[in-house]
Parts: sequence; C-alpha cells; structure tokens
Amino acid sequence: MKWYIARRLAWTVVATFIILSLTFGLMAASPDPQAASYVAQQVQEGGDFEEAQESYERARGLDQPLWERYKNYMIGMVTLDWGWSETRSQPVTEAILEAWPYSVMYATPALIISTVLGVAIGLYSATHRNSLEDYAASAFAFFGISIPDFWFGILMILIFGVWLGWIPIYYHSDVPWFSLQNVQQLIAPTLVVTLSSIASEMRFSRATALEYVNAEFVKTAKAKGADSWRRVTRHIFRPALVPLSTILVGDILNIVLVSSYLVEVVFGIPGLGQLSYKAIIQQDVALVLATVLIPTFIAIVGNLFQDLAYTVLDPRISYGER
Amino acid sequence: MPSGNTDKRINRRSWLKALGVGGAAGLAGCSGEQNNQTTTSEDGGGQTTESTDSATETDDSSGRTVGGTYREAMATDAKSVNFLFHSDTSSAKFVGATMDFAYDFKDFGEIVPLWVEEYSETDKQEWEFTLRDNLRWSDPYGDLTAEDWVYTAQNLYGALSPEESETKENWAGVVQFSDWKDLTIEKTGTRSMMVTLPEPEPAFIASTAFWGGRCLPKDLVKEYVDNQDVEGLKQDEELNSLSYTGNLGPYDFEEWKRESRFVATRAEDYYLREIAGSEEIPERFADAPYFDQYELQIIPEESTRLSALKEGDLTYFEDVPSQKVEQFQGMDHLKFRFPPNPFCGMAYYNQRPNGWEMLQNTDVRRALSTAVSKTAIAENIYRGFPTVAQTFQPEWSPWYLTDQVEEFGVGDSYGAEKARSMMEDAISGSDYSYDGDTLVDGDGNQVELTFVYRAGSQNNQTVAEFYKQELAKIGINVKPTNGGPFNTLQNKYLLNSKDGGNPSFNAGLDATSQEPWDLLYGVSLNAYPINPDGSNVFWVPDGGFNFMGYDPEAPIADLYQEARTATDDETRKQAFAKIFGALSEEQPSNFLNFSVYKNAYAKNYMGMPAEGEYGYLQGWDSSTWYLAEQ
Repeated sequence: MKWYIARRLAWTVVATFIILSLTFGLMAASPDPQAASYVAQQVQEGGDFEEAQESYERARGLDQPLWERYKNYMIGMVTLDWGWSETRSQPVTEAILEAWPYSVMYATPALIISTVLGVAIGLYSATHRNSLEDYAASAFAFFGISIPDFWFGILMILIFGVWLGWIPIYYHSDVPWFSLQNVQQLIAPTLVVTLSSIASEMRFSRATALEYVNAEFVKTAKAKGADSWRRVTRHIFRPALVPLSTILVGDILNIVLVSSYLVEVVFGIPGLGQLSYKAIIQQDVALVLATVLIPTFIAIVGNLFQDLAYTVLDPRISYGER
Repeated sequence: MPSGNTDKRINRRSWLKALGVGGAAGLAGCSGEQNNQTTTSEDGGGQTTESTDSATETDDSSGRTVGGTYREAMATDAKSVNFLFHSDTSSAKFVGATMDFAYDFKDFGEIVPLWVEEYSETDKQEWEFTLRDNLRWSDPYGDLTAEDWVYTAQNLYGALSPEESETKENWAGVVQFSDWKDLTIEKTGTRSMMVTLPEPEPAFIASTAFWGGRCLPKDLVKEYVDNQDVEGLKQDEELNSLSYTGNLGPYDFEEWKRESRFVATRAEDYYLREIAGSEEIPERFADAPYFDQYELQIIPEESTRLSALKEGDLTYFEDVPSQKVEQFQGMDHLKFRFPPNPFCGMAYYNQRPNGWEMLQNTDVRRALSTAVSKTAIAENIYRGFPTVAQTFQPEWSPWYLTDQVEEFGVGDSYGAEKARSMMEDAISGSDYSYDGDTLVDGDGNQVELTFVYRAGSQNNQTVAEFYKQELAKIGINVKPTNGGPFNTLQNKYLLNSKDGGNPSFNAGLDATSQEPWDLLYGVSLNAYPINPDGSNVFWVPDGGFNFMGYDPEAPIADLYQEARTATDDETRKQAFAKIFGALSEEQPSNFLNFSVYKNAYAKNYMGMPAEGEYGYLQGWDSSTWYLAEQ
C-alpha cells in the first residue's frame, strides 16, 4: 500500500511537470494580445514597429531564448517563485492567495450541499422509482443540468437583486468575510453552482442506487426484517458509494474549471475562476501556468484520495499487490 | 510661406491662436497678460479673443458640499497603476484619480494649467515649461521639481539631454517612449525646463508628451535607472501602490483589490485648492474634490453593471449600450449626456497586391462608397447615436471645412444607380465589366469581395451583412468573414511583409498580409481633433499604420509636413483642410461614422455641462462635480 501511494505521488510530480510543460508550450506558441495592443498603440503614436516589439519583449524577458524562459519558469515553479503577473502587477503567488478565499466561500457550501442533497434525493428517487416525487426530482435534475450557469446567475440577480432587493446585485469585496452581509451576497452564487452540481449528483446516484435496489442481498435484508431506512443506508448506499465517490473529484473540477469562471464573472467575485479566466484571455503566462496547477493538483491528488477511499468503502479492494 | 517668429519669445496665449482654432481663449493670468490676447505676428491680425469658458455656468460654488462616495462600474480591471508600463483606459483612470498631469484642454486651444503653471516658446522649437511651486510628492521625496521631470524624461522616456544626439533605446519598455524619443530636454531652473524639438512644431503643446504627461520622483526611480533594472521598476511597491503621489491629485490611494474595486479617499491637501479662485482655476476648486471616497467597482458582466445602474448603486456609467439607452433614459434617478467621441468607424479598402486589384483605383473606391448608406448604418445598426463621417475628422472638429469635404453614402451621394454608373466609368478599359446586373472579371466570374470584421461586437457583423446587401445592388458579392479578436485580426490582416521579411503594419506598399482581404471593419482610429498632426501615420505612403496600403494621389505627406510646421493659423488650417478634403475625395477607406458616448449619471450628481453642451473635452473639471442634497 505504501509503495502504491509513493508511486502515485511520484506520478503526481511527473504529471504536473508534463502539464506545465504543455501549457508553457501552448502559451509560447499563442499570439500575445498584450503585445499586439502595445505595438499597435506605439505605432499609432508615431513609434517604430520593430522597436516597439523589441522593447516589449525586452521588458518582459521575452527576448530570451525559449529554452531559457522554460528553464526559468520551471525552476520558479519548484522554488515557489511563480513570477510576476503582468496583467495584475503583483506576484503570482499573491494573486492566488488573494483570490482563493473568495472561491472557497461559495464553492465549499455548494459542494457540501450538492453532495449531501444530490445523493439523498438520488437515493430517494431510486427507491421510489416512477413515483410523483421521482418525476419531480428528475424534472428538477434536468432543469439543473440544462440551465446554463451564466444565464441562471443573471436571472437570480434580476429577480432577487433588482426586483425583490433581497440580495446585492454584485459582490462587495469590502464586506467582512464572517458577516451576515457576506452570507447574504454569497447565497446567489452558491445556489447557481449548487444547482448544476446537485443535478448531476442526483442523476448519477439514482442510476447507481437503482442497480442495488432489487439486488439479492437487499431482498434478503428485507426478508430478514430490515426496515426501509436500514436497507437504504446500509445495503444500497454503501455499495453505491464506490462509484459515487468517483464523481466527487469530477464535481470539484467542474466547479473549479467551469462554474467558477461563469459565476465569478456574472457576480463580480474576485476569485480563482476570474483569475484564471482573465489570465488566459490576456495571455498572462506566469499566471496561467500557476492557475493551471490548481485543477491539476485537484485532479491528481483528488484521484489518489479517491482510490484510497475505495479500500475503505469496499474492503474487497486492495492495492497491497500493486 | 509664413513669416517667421524668430528672435522673440511669445506668450502661451499667442500660441493658442497658432493651433488654428481661432476664437478659443488661452491660459489666463499666469504672466501678467490677463486681458490682452494678441495673436502672433504671422497672421497679422492682431485679433483679440474673449474667453468662452463654458465652466462659468458651473462656477457657482454654492450648493456644493463635500461628502458621499463616487461609484462607477467598470468592465475591466486596470493592469497596473504603474503608469510607465500600461496606458489602458482602466489603468489611466485609476492613476488619474490620484495624480493630475501637466495640463489639460477644456476646449479646442483652451488650456487648463495643472502641474505646469505656464509655458513659453521660441520659434515654435524651444518650449519652456514652469511647474507650480506647491507641488509635493509624498515623504520623503519632497517637492516636484524640474529635476524630477527632466530625470524621468531623459532616463525613462528616452528624451535626450543637450549633449546627446542619438536616439536612445527604450530599455524599460515604457509606453511614453514614442512621445519623447526625439525631444531634447534640459533643466533651466528649479521649476522650469526647456524642451527642444528637432524642428519647429507650432502645435507641440497639443502633443501627448506634456498634455497628459507626468513624471516620477527622481529618488524613487534612480536606483532602477542606474542598474537598468526593469523588473525592479515594474515591481516597485511604491509605484504599484501610488504611495508617492503627495498632493498631486484629488484623491489619495487607499486600496486596489484586483478584479473587484479600486478605492481612493479625498486628498486633504490637493494643490489646486490653494490656487482656486485665480483666473485659470475657478473658485469651485476650493473644496475639490466633493466626494469623500472614490470607488471604481469592477464588474465584468454587462448585465450586472446595468442592473447596478438600474438600482441606483452607481454615480456614473460610461457608455451605456445603444440598445439600452432609451430604457435607462426613462428612469427617474438617471440623466444622460452624449459627449462626442473622436474615434472614426471605417471600412478600409485593401489597396495592397493581395486585395482586389481594382481597389487601387480611386474611382472604384468612390463608387463603392457611394453604394453604401452611411445613414442606414448610423440610424439602424447603431440606433441613431453616431454622426455620419465623411473624412477623418468629425464635423465638430475645427479642422473640418465643409466646402473641402466631398460626401459619399448620404442624400444624393448615395444610391445603387449612381454607384453603378460610377463603377461602370471606373472600370472602363479594364478586364472588368457588367454582365447584366453582375460585375464580372475577364473570365466572366462575379466579383467577390472578402469583408473581414473584428469579432466581439454583433454590430461589426451586422455592418458586414449590410455591406453584402448594399454591394449586391451593384452586382458585387460580399463574403463576410470573422477576423477574430484584435490580436488575431492584427496578425492575419493588418501586419504585412514582403519577401519573407519581418512583418509590420506597413512594410512597404507592395507588402501583403498573411491572409488576403478586400474590406475590413472594426478597427476605429482616433482622429485626434485637438491636433491631427499624428494622424499622418495612417495616411502617408510610409506611415507606420498605413496597413491598407494607401498611396495617395494628393501630396498628403507634404501637406502634413506643412501643417505640422506652419507658424500661422490659416496655413495650418488650410493644410489640414486639404488633407481631409483629399481623404474624402480619394476614399482610402469608407469613413462611416463618429460615435458618441452615452454616459449615464445619477440625477443628483451635479456640475457637469448641460445636455447638448457637453463637448469633447468637458470632463476637465470633474473633480468639482458633486452630489446635491436629495
């Protein structure tokens, strides 16, 4: 088991290295909008094209050979000197440290609510298949999956912010984190993220649980007098947890990679989603590389924990031989 | 030839007439010449002009009280408050809250002296600027002196010292380099400095070296300059927190939370307060600014910004989308102003070898411009806000002379029939001809033009589709093509090269872009109505931004040179009139429109010019605008 974990951790380093190298390569090959706009401005003001291009590259260290830049970036990554963000004028580490709490503030409750409620409703649907409640839950799930986060966020602002005045229209970062006001302004983004996550959790847990609802061991439990609650929690939920746990990492990634981009732009939350979205759009290489690390880390380490969780959830699984 | 103005120093007011925008008043009261505004000897007129200071209508200080928060929503965050490296709108706005600059214009030729108290010039070539004596940096940098300015200009902006002659390298990659690289600057006193130009330039004061210009404390940047340390200069904490700005602007920096908000608080010792009530700085500056706090909220999503405006969360909203203006105009808590915008929307004709060959023919371009209704574009696509353009100056510019400008695409100058007839004349003798209603080439194939538009605006695509409809009426097929965002558009269509050489916006008139194109839309250019000297880069054959490959028939390069160096109003005015007349006649691009800003203000936000009187430059005194009691 220890050997397995060590190998997986070593793989984490290799995978991170590969992903960072690929991202660096892609960024180096992409046209730089900052450069385009700087050079265009200088030329329109009477400057020389080549001179403007050279001074832009010199000032940003882009005049060094590609290999040199790559080496510097990689050494910087290892030594935690992640460089300077050209589009925010601050160290990349500071940018990330500033941004992550805002994402955590709405992503954590969204993840907890969607996991608990999604699984619970899914199980309920599975055990009450084709009932009115099951249809209602399915309808809710399809609504959640179908509705774009972006559009739903705007709708929330219009209804609850503009018409009803219950929530602020945009996120006020000057509000203390631990205050009712902050809770109030986080409700809408949390709901938007929750809705999309809960829907997929529900459908998946329903489908997984359905496999066990009519399983022999569940029928045996029923015959032996186990009540409905016990059958669901001990005999259906537990085996269903193994496949269910596989989508948990996916869910977190979905929030980090997709929902946070959209939700943070709509509500004006200065979190990780906006940080990486703007970094990509504006080709802020140092920031892109650093923000790519976050989902990479979540995916790799999350999957490792997920594999380890299997052994707890299902004792038949063992990595001892591997 | 204009008579010289040699061997005498003339005062700044005289210079104002040299801009060729007669009727404007100059700086007042700085050198004991308050009531006599004489013109320079060149025009011989000895005219006296009266101040038309529109500010007088808002000069009443009564009713102004200090208090409240100014709040504006912006779509994009600043990239930096270190003004050496970024000049995007947001960055400029952040810095502008905490620092004024040398001087500003409040009308054509009418200057507001800010850091620079006065200036004089000799032969239009030597310009001496004197700084106010109450300008202070934050501790420990002391007074803002000419030493600071000269040091910054020579060591960061690329200006030369009198002993130097070779153009410097832009070692730090600063954005001010193109303004300063050919200038020589020296200190002439504690607060005064002299700028010497390579050649006489009557409108130098309206160039962006000093207009909008700032400097930095010498002691703050010296270490980086000595070590040529770009990283240090870029990452310096003081430069990135505006903590050195002293009393130089209306607000003091308080906080910048990236992608969220920028906050500044009212400066207690704003230098303009001390001189309010003088002739050049109105009394209403005595307590400026009139807000306790200045807050710029970053809200990327347009609908969220508009919701904030709707809810009364904002004091000001710049440029409400055209389709929303009517709805927001109906709201009781808002009022609108529509100041003109100097950016010209154009459909460029590719006159390079990889464009349709006939686009090099002026008559063909004229025929094409006749076929497209500018009024329909302004009215139907842009909802009536822009004004139709006919040349590279808006009608409200002092350089626009109606009798020199030829109109296209409006009234009698618009129509398929007329355009077709013009086209038939233009193509006679060539391989092209009309086959029924279709314009065909020598092989009998219909002429097809690629219309490239910049991505990111639905209106750009709509204009392309409209062009397709309009040119179909004269037998031409137009193929609208999405050119991508600006950097993609630039790489594929604007940059050109020849024989595998390095690309640039104009690598010679025979150079070609990566991808062929015929018409291009979505790149608006500033017409510089205050001083159009700089617009030569677009229209002269070797102009750095002449990406469309325009080779004018009129001697436009000579006319620009004449306008730039003319020492009397009329010569300059006539030279510009000829330039903009020739552009309208030769149609290097189809000048479509000049837009307006659709700015919304909270109803109780007061002090700005009345609706209909809000001109191009009338935000100069915005630090005196205030919230009225409800």
